[in-house]
Amino acid sequence: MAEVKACSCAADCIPEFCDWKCALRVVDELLATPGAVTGDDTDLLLDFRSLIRQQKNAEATLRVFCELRRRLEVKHYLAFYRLRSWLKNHLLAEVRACPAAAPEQIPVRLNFYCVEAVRRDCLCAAAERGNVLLAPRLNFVFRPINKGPRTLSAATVCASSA
Amino acid sequence: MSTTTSPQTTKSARKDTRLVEALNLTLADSYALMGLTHLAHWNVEGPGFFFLHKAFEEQYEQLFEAVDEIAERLRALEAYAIGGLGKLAQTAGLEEFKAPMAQNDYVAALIVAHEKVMADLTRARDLAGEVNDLETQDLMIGRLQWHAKTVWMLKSFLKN
Repeated sequence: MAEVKACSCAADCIPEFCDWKCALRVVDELLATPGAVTGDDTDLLLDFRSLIRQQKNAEATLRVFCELRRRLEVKHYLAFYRLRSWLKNHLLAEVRACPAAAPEQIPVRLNFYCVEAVRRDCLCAAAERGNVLLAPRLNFVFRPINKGPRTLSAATVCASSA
Repeated sequence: MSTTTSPQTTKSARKDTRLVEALNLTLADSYALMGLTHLAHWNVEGPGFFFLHKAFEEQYEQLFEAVDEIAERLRALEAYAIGGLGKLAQTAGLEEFKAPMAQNDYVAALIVAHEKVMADLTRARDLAGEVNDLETQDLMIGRLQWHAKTVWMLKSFLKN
């Protein structure tokens, strides 16, 4: 895979969450590699890039990721492992036992290839915590990121993976 | 350029706390990676079992030797090597595996861990160069070559 020299999201790269290669960088590497992604997959990958760059619509991000994973993971396993690791650290499920209940944050496990299966897994995880899910509501959200001054180690992470 | 390290240079390397810290970090990294590789050796399952089980065994055995070499280099610099499982794990900061995982996830996770170790080895190599400690630099270069080769093999396994 071709190496992209500049880290495209260096300003937002937080090591605790980034697992050494942030998602934008992985997507950029895929896009920059001749023949790695073609046709509709390229369009979908660009959509995914836009979604993770904006970090506003977690559900759509997850939906597009699952679609991309079904299409491309066999060919680009390592890239999708990095993307999975990144999403696992950046996404949360907020589960309410009923519409009026306070939300409980549940980690998102990406052992599945469709959003509905991920949603069901999160609801099961909430139930295992002792919640009685009367009329549950679930929203996927991006974990808030500390965008304060970057540490030396954060800079090192991006530099070392460049 | 001289190919040996003068006693004066070794003295400056001994005094360089940055180099000692960097070496201790590579020691912790290597130890933690050895533990992860050993875990993968035990728990890997799937069609690639026989190949991966054997490959992981060779890798953790080589990491065990590397750990000893790095620790002994620290002692040669009259510094102390860090130790203890908790301290090594905390210093390395490598993410632990949530076994069981799919066989390809073990391979991918190990690649990511090797990359972290290589970043720290590169820093130690460069610091050793700054203080003209060629023996330490040579050790770090050797380690980097081994990790690069291992990453190449692991990546090749994932190619489809």
